[in-house]
Amino acid sequence: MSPSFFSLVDRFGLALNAVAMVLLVLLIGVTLWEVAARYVFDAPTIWGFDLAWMLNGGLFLLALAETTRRGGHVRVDVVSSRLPAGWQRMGETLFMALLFAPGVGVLAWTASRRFVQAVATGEVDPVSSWAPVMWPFHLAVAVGLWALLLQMAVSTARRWRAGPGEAAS
Amino acid sequence: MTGTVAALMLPSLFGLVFLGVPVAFALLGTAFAFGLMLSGDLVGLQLFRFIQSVAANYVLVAVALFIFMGAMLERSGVAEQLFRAMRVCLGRLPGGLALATIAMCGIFAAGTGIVGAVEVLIGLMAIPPMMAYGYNRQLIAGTICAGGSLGTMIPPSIVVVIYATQAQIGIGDLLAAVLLPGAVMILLFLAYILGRCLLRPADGPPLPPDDEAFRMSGLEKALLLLRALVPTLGLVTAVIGSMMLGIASPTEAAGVGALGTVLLAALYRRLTPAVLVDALRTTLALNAMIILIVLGGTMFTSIFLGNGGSRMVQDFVALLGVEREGVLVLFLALLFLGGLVLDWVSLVLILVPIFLPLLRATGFDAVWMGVLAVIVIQTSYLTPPMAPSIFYLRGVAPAEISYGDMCRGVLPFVACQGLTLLAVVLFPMLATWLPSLTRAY
Repeated sequence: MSPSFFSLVDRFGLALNAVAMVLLVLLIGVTLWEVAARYVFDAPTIWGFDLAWMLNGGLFLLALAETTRRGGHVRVDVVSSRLPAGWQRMGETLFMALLFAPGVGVLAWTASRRFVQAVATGEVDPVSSWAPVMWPFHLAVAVGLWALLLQMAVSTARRWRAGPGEAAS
Repeated sequence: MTGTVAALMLPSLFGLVFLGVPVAFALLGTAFAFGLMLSGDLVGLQLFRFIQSVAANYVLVAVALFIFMGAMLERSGVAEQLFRAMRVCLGRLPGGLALATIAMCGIFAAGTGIVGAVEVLIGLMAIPPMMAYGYNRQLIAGTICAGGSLGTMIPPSIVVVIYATQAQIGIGDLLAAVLLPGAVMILLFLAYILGRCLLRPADGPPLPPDDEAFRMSGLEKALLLLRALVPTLGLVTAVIGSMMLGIASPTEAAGVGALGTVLLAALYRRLTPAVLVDALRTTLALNAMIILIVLGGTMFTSIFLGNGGSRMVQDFVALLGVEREGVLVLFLALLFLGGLVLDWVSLVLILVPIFLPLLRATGFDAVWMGVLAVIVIQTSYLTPPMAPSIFYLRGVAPAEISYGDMCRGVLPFVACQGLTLLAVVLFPMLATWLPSLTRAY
């Protein structure tokens, strides 16, 4: 893994975060449109509800990698801050290799298969009267999960490169 | 076999959490490991269902929108307006600046459900003047932490939204239910500050006579107050009111609130593209953090409950020999103790689904129990030594305010929260009256 690969992963996460930002703006817009349509014009849309949860699910998953890069997930450091830095780093690496990577990997793989399936069969939402195509949602889930996995691998590798002195920071 | 699995899940989770692995990842990893043991190859499909159900949950859309509303409100300049107005109105009283801080926090919390950033904002604004006028340092620390913690309680609070989804009660009902207890808590905070500063004037001297709090005429003050209060209160009333009356769903109300805060920022001339992008970015990060815990927590508890966990918890409760009140006290105690270590999202996601059948069996009103739980979460948020609110305060407090000052300073406010809890226990009407009223519509 060369450093340029690391920054490529960072930039990929940033780009996904930018997409998520657009989705958030769209989500606010869709919600307001629905409110206006329902309460002002008394003509609720058939797509407001579906579009809202799809956008929300998409923006959540696409923002995961960048949130991970910035260390935005809650940690409890009461005990770990008292452990030797080497131990903590080793523990986290083992967690990453044995649990996190296989777990998220399986999920990302399942999501990718669902996406391919959705494209191949032209799957639409079975419970919605609007019946939107499902592949964009599945695509966001799959891409978001792969990006999270990559970002977490890069973050773990960086802790080893930083050397024992900086590992705790 | 399955009973052992459940028994091993909690220690494994805590082992990972204490190792310093992000809580959301630890939940996910534990769920994966035990799911793999039980379901083998099917674990991928099994856990993937939860991604779909969480990502496709319409109610959770409200979380992102409420976070954006809070992030935008924080940047809208409303806080400065409110603080100045409260300062000139309350500044002549003993402890006036501390009173103004709590009053501002109460109103501000009604517009935002996020706490950390709000506390930082309030601390930066209110600590320097209180230090300058020689306020007691413990009082300063306690006021900022207590005021900052109000966001967990006063609607639209993210705690309430997440709790309601897990306890399967209406978000609108729980939001309506916490409103009066929240007001009681604010009044207790104000009463404590006023009482303390009346008895010991040196702890919070009134503003000097040449301050604008004395020079301004009543009319000028009224205008300032109106200018600060009307737009914010109007927005807050519209958002909370439309939800409580069942006119709008929480998601719709949150969307309107999001637009409202953007307009407020424009009104106070704070709206720039940079501010907007910054608010969006903050929202994405906080939302991703919270929803990933919701996702990991959902996976963790379903595997725990599906593999002997519910039986284990029932046996445990039976062993303790508690029922009804005892079960509720046990639940609240675990919530409080857990809050000293874990973040509230994980706690709610783990404890509420596990206790839900037991809580239902007590026959108590679910909304009432929800209010008690929200107060306890807020209290553990404020209780030293592991209080997030103190952690945030340390980031903005000057060196003169020691960690000991902070821990001692919050204790009277923790006592006020205890009194609020007691009030809701003794007078359940405080929690149940507003929801029953709004349900009648």
